[in-house]
Amino acid sequence: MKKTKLVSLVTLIAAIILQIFTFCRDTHNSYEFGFAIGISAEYKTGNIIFTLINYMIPLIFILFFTSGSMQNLIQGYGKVLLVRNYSRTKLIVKQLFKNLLTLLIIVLFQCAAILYFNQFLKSVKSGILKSLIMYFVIMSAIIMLQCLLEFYIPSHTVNTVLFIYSLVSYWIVQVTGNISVLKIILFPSLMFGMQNGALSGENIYYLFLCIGIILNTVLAVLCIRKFKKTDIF
Amino acid sequence: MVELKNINKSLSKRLILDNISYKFEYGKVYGLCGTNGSGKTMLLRAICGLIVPDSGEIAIDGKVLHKDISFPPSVGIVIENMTLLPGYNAFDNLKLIAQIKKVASDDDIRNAINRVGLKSDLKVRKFSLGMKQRLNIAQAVFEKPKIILLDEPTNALDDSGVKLVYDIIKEEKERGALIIVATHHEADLKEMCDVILRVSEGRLYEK
Repeated sequence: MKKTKLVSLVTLIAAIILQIFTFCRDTHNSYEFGFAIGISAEYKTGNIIFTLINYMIPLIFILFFTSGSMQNLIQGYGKVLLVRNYSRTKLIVKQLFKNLLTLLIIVLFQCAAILYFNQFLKSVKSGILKSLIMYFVIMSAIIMLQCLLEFYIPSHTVNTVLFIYSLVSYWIVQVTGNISVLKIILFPSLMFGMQNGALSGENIYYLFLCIGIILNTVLAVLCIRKFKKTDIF
Repeated sequence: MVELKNINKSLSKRLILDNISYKFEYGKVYGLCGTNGSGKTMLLRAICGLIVPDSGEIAIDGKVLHKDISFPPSVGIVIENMTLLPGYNAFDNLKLIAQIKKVASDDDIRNAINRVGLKSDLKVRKFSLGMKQRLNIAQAVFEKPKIILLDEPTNALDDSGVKLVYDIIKEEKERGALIIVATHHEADLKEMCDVILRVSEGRLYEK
């Protein structure tokens, strides 16, 4: 399917609504709210991957929404600006910022949709804001990683790799328990409040938040440095 | 003058440009012909600074690319995959680009769009392939650059469009610009070029 803004937007909204309906129909009380999901004991056997995919649905579409942004700079519109001596740093920083703004709007929409349906969910009042912030920070790190990888491999492969990485990360952390180093290596697992300490009020939340911000910064710097040395086609 | 000295470039271990040396002068039209994949487009990319040669030097008026300057100070290009912003009309697209160098006025933009036979207010997403190519040509010339690099400029154009390209190249040459046109249609080159060069397996030959 041709990636247009309209197709991306419609699929993304559909995905978020689908996810909320999944939460609403869940009889296992395995969720807290959208950004704080955890898996109950019953889910740790059997269909765990299927369950995780439900939780990760928006990620597929967010990756789809932001994919190709680096490719466009390298192979598309970017060259028109660069040959006029437009700063490479300015160009890529603008694009990264645009991606983050897109993510922010999507996450706020997700949040609004979840809160609207909140009466059907077993909500946790404390930690909502913390979970939301952490969800955004980790999701933005995944998008930064997506941008960096697009310099090396085609964007559709990047999306698949990142989705599997996120899925496997959450699953491994879920089954191996509370090992901080593992959570950092498998950072997409920190997206959800049940994993990052946002709900339990642990100080570790702030450590993970700092790590998320550092990760974003490092990935952004690597993207800028790589773009400066990349041939434009 | 654009001077190439022993330019080499490899991609994925394949030699794309092989020891190319040549001097291009202002006020002349140069044609690059060769089969697909011969290295024509890559040579244009190297001259406008989009790719960095593995070795050798490209000097624009004595200033070395990627050493003294990042890009030629005054260049217009039409190179493949150049779709402009689909949500903007022709005028707004060029206006946005013009804000970088600030050398072209609104009248220059309108003149360039009229020159290629387009309407200023139509959004690019409604353009046919040929219309997009016309807008790309307008984009390459509207700032009156000293160097104009055109890769397959007659692609997707009808007969009137092709004639229009010939006329624009002639006018830009008279203005004193250095124009390099790459195409695999040799007939096009004979029509509009002062010097025809052949690119084969990354090497440059004078015909």
